[in-house]
Amino acid sequence: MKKISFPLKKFSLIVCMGIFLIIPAVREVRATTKAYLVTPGFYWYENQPTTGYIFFYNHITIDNYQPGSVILSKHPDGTGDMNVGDAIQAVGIYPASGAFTYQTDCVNYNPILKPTDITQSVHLAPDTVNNILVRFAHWCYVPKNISPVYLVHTFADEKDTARFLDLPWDYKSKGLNFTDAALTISSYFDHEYPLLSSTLKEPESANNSIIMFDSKNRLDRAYSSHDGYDYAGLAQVHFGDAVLAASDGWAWYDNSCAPCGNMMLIDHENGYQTRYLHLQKEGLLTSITDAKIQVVQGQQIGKIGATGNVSPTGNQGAHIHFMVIQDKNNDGNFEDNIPDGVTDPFGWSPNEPDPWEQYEFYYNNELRTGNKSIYLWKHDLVGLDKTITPAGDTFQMSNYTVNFPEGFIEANLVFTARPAPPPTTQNSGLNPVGIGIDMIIKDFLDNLITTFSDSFTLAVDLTDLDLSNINENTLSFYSTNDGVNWNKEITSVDIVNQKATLSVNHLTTFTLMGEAKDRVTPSTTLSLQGDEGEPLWFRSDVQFSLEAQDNTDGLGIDYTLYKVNEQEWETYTSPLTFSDEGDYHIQFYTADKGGNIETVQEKSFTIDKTPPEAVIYFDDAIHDIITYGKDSSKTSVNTVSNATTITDQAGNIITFTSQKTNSPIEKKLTVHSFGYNHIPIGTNEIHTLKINKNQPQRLRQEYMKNQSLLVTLIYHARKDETMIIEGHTKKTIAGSAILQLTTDKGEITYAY
Amino acid sequence: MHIKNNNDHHLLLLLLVLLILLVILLFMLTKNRSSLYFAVNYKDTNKSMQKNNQTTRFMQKFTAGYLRFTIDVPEYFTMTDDFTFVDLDSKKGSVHIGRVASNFDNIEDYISFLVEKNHMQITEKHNFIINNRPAIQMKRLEQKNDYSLQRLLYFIYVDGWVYSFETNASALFGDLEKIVNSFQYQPK
Repeated sequence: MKKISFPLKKFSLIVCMGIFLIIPAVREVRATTKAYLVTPGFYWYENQPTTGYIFFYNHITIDNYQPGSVILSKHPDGTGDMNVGDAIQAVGIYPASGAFTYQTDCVNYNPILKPTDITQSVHLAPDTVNNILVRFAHWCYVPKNISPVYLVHTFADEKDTARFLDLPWDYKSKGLNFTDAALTISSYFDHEYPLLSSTLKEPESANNSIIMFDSKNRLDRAYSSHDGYDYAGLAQVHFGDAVLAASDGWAWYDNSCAPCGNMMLIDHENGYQTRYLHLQKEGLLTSITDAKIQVVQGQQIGKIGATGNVSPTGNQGAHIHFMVIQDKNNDGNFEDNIPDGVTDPFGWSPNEPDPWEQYEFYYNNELRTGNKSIYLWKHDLVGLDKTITPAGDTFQMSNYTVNFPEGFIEANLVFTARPAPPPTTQNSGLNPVGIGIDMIIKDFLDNLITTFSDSFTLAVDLTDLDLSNINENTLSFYSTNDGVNWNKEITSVDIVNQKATLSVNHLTTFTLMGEAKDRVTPSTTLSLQGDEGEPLWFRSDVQFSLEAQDNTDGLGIDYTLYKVNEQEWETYTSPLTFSDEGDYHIQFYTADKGGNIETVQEKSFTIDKTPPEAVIYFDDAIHDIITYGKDSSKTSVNTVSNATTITDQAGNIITFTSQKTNSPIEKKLTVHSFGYNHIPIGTNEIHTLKINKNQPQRLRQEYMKNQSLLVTLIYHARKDETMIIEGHTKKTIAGSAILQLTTDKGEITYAY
Repeated sequence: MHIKNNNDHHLLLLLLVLLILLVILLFMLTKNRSSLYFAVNYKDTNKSMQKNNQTTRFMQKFTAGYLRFTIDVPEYFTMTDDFTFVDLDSKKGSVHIGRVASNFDNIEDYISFLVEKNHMQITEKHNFIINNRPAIQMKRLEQKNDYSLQRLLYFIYVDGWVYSFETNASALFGDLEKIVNSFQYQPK
């Protein structure tokens, strides 16, 4: 019997270790496994060529080795006894080192090797590519039926092993999915810094803002120093609702913290504790402090209450404050890890360092640092980042289901899905339904893959989507790569079962769209009521009303907006009254429930409540006494017999009765009475304007009130000057002065 | 410095000339940059502010997929839409948008709660309405090393949610006001 030149003593020790180190080949469901095929199996005869004693070998490259285990097994899942012939050896080449060997002797021939963990024998370097040589040797001169052999690398993803929490209330029965429930947060965990449960204060630079788990920015949200998550009404957490254990463990009651109210604590026996604050006294799993009761995930431990410090006070402030503490010093006591063990169950996702993890502080005479937060929820948030395998996978994101069938891909790839906002540039007449989905597939070298030889399935649950304005016959998936140009995809729509399905072999963004049922814009009619003169000139208060109408088959009016002058847009609810004089410019439009929006209409009108005044003077050019109106708007003068009426655009009037006498050398106008808007001014005054031109080159104008001469103007053309006599006062001014009588709110005044 | 000979004179002269040239060059660069900045600003203003009959139109309408709202955003912003926030980034600074699920039934009480919990120093506060939703605009002081900044905040109350819009870039205060006034909630 020929022997192979392996150092036997060493290898026998290794073999023993290898045998005794057989561990369960299949890890927990949450571990990640990659299988590398060494050989699919073959039959070897003695006369086949060999290289020395080596009759078969294969170099295996393990990508980006993460500390875990490497197992030799028959099946790719790490199970199955192998037929390895006379001997098998796995040798670390680079940067891996060490070797594992199994060999049998030819007398008690045993070619069967059970699944074997070779991690202790072959030392692989982490976070890099490792090369391992696996070779088969012979010396027993018997044919060998070599079975398939795999190198199976299984490693514990940090995220996978620690993801054990669910939300502490029955959100599913309230119609919420995990993401919607988990992100309906009333108060966030403050990564700068969650010190609320300690006596420490934040530095001033950090005490008026928070840093959330997914943003590096300081933000004005609720609230600074908070060390857990508050969930309340909008998350369907109501007073009296059941509070559930977030995971298995041992629960007990504590009421030593007054602001916490009634509190339940659960030690999950994995280094983490969860706390549930503000519970009601009734319904507690136990109200005996320190009496630990074993619980399972989802078991009721209490009821939502408002004990301790809640805002607003009373039952309206009912909420659950949920917090997680890590036993950083592994002493089984969580109290001595407040606040440094306080942890955000959403982890920390920005590229920048987590301020809480970096924070150093003294507490109880010890220098401490904050805690590293990792994602602890069992369920993913909407927006996936997963590995897809050749075995096929199904993923859920909101109301989307993505199914990759077996054989869709040949090697593992990274699949990412995010919600995509509905298109803003809509195809003609198409309305998006719900949000879209943005999908990316990359290989592990970050190369984007957008088309595939096989198809995958994308389905959307229509149950919660608003289809009220969609013509269901036109529902279809549309896809885009640039967010601008959308292509219609062949979609199967099942309204009865509320599902739309697409089979497609390309990416990237998909949105469900359909033609709007109601594509007719509504119309709005404006009505203005008041005392109107000329069109849109009012001399009274104006009542303004809008009436909106939608088409007969439309979805109805949603809202009507109006705007007065430069004011803000307001929602129209009832008629308005405008009282102040001035110009009004109204804009208005209506939108219906189908999203059709009317073009803005406009109307201008004026309110003028002030009647005009009259001006009376002698016009030498036409040698007559003239009357005209004085107003902010245009006026018209109408004289019938002894009555003169001056009207402005709003229909306000001034009327006066007068008597006019005419002769070649004398003109006289006597005003007896006047009034505004048919209301006479009750005076008995008589005003007379008398013009005398009995001498050429001389013009005499007189104004008398009740036969008293108030003013006389005498113009001398040759001197081109006017003498003005008022009572005992006499003065002369250059040029020709014209005497004017003007009505003024019930009085008559003169000027020149 | 004692100038020993003519060579030193020449060297000194050369250094002086180089210094003058450097100053001139710097001046020209500064002048050009500010002119370019002005030209770019003017172009952006011209393009981004187009009034129509309904509202002042920005160059893009943005819809937040998860937070369920639409806003009009000037074209020079880039948008990041993530679970709990939307960031609008520009060369002038950033606007951060998010929301919380409030237990309060009105915005005034929520703001009082937030101001107390976050020890805010409020310098201004106004109540108003945005598309039929109660809203509050506030300015507060933000401590930044040795100095204080004004931070502009808007809060809009929508069916129990309080949407917040905030920036500490004073150059964006005007833009933020317009962005906020275009806010439309998009319920499911």
